[in-house]
Amino acid sequence: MRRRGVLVPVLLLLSLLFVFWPWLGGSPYLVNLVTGGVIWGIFAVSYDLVLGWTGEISFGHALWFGVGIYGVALLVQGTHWDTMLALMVVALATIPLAFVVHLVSLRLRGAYFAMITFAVAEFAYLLVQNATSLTGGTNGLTGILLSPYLLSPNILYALPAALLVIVVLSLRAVSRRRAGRIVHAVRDNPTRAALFGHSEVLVKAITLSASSALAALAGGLYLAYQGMAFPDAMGSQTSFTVLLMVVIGGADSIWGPAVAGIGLYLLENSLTATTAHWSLWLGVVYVLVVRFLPLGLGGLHTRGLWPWRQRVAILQGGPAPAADQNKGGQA
Amino acid sequence: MIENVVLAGISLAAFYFVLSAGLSLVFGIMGVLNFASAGYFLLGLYASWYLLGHHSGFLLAAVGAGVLAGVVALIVEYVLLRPLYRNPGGQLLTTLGVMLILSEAVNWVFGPQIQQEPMRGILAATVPIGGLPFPVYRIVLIGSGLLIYGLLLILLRGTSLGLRVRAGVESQTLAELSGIRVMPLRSLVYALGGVLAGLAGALYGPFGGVYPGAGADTLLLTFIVVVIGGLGSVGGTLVASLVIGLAEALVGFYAPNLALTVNVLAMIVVLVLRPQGLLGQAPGRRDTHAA
Repeated sequence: MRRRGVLVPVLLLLSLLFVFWPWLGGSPYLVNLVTGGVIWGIFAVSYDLVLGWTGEISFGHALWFGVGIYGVALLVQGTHWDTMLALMVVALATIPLAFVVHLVSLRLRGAYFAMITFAVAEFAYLLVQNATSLTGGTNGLTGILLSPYLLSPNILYALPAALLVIVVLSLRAVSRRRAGRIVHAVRDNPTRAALFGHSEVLVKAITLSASSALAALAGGLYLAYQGMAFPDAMGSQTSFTVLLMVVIGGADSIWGPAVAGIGLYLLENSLTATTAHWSLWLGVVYVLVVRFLPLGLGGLHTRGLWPWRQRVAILQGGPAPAADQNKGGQA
Repeated sequence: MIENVVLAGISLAAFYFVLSAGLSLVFGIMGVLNFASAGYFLLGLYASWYLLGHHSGFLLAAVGAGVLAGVVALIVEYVLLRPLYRNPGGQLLTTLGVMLILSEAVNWVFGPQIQQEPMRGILAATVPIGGLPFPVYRIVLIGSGLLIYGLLLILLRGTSLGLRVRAGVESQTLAELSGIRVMPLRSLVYALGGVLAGLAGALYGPFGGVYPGAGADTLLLTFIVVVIGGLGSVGGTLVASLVIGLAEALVGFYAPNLALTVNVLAMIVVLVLRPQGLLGQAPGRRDTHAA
């Protein structure tokens, strides 16, 4: 209890520092660079809800990032609303949309779920690319009238930074309460959770919808950051990048993916000048992490440094097409 | 006119079959959705391009491509996938990493530009079909597809090794109970998947071009073919290749932008309504050796 008494003010102070450091004197260039990292951090945390919380592997998370980007871009273009208002509306609208999409996708599990997420995202990507009159096709949407306060780099930084802090802290809180325990129970033993009255499909669909809405928030902020929308931001490469971030950061922890998202983005954007083969090294590190640290860097914190403590598989990804095929010893 | 389009569709189908058959077999026996296949494809593509540029014939270039891709696949299986045998999610993530590494490596060594595949002699010629010139190479493609299908059929149906592989695909547990050692079979099939992907790479160069993004560009189509054909079924892969190849040629002929979109939509519909594929086994009969 005494430790807890210290922890709360320290966390609060660190959070305030994290959100407001640009005003303490950061160069606009640095602030701008870190903003991109923080937005990717939010996106990575949203993917952690998929990989870490439901245990399913999705290869199409960029879809929801793209929904945020194009949703906000089109809404702002059509209505001239305040950008943050449009962002909220798009994120809220994403929830029912994602819920329906995931109810259908969750008819499948494992490798099949991975494939349908990939296919749905590619389908949406092709639609955006071909609906030239609405989305501008491969030329993208430019000249979007963003709210004037977003022109200040400090505010443009503080908004996503505050969101990231709120999201990480509230997910930490949720994961220790009943709702979070139910989600993890469903992940680890769906049959047993079902016997306690928690429908696997429903629990996972709700978790995935929350994840999608959060990804849409990240996408909308990314639009505000970039000032334009391009289809490649919702292509498969984006899905793969966020997957790599979360695996390296550790799907079992919440701050791990956030730190990995920020860190890898910053590394990529500061190292591409020195080494042109950043993606190659990233791929090598990623494969080694999957092999030797399945819980990622976050696992070193939650499980200790011993290698054998890391050998916990929380992921699906196996060969059975539907859920009821996948319960080895239970049935 | 139309016979030209149909023939082009069949030649595409032959390519898709070679590209996807390995992926389907690997999934059947290992339960691994092998993203790395796109990387082996890329290795084969560049190996054959390199050999063709250094005074080798097309056949030798194709064999070289298959061997290189197969050897790399064997190493990957032994070093990276085997230790994750009881962790299918980890295996899936690893194959994605292998794909990313191989495409970046190719990009590093050969650069991002599109290379010209040096085609000589009869392979560069055309014959008139339906009043229009038709590339001889596309006929070679159809022949290669049929040849590889025949060889696979002989391997799987005519040899005792093939019998063991089919037993392993059908049910790993039952195969092991019957005294079949499945682990070496997995390595073998995985390497065979690499060989087939490498051959597909060699076949792709002359009509698709040689560039590092080729692996990613064909990845989605492979998934479409194996899903529609049913993962683990070579016959299903053949039928699905024909469906997708012809659909792409015909839809592409009338509405070029829609071809891929229509195929992806077909994949989604099949996944939702019939995840075992058009010719795949009913899910109840599949072995459950997952996690």
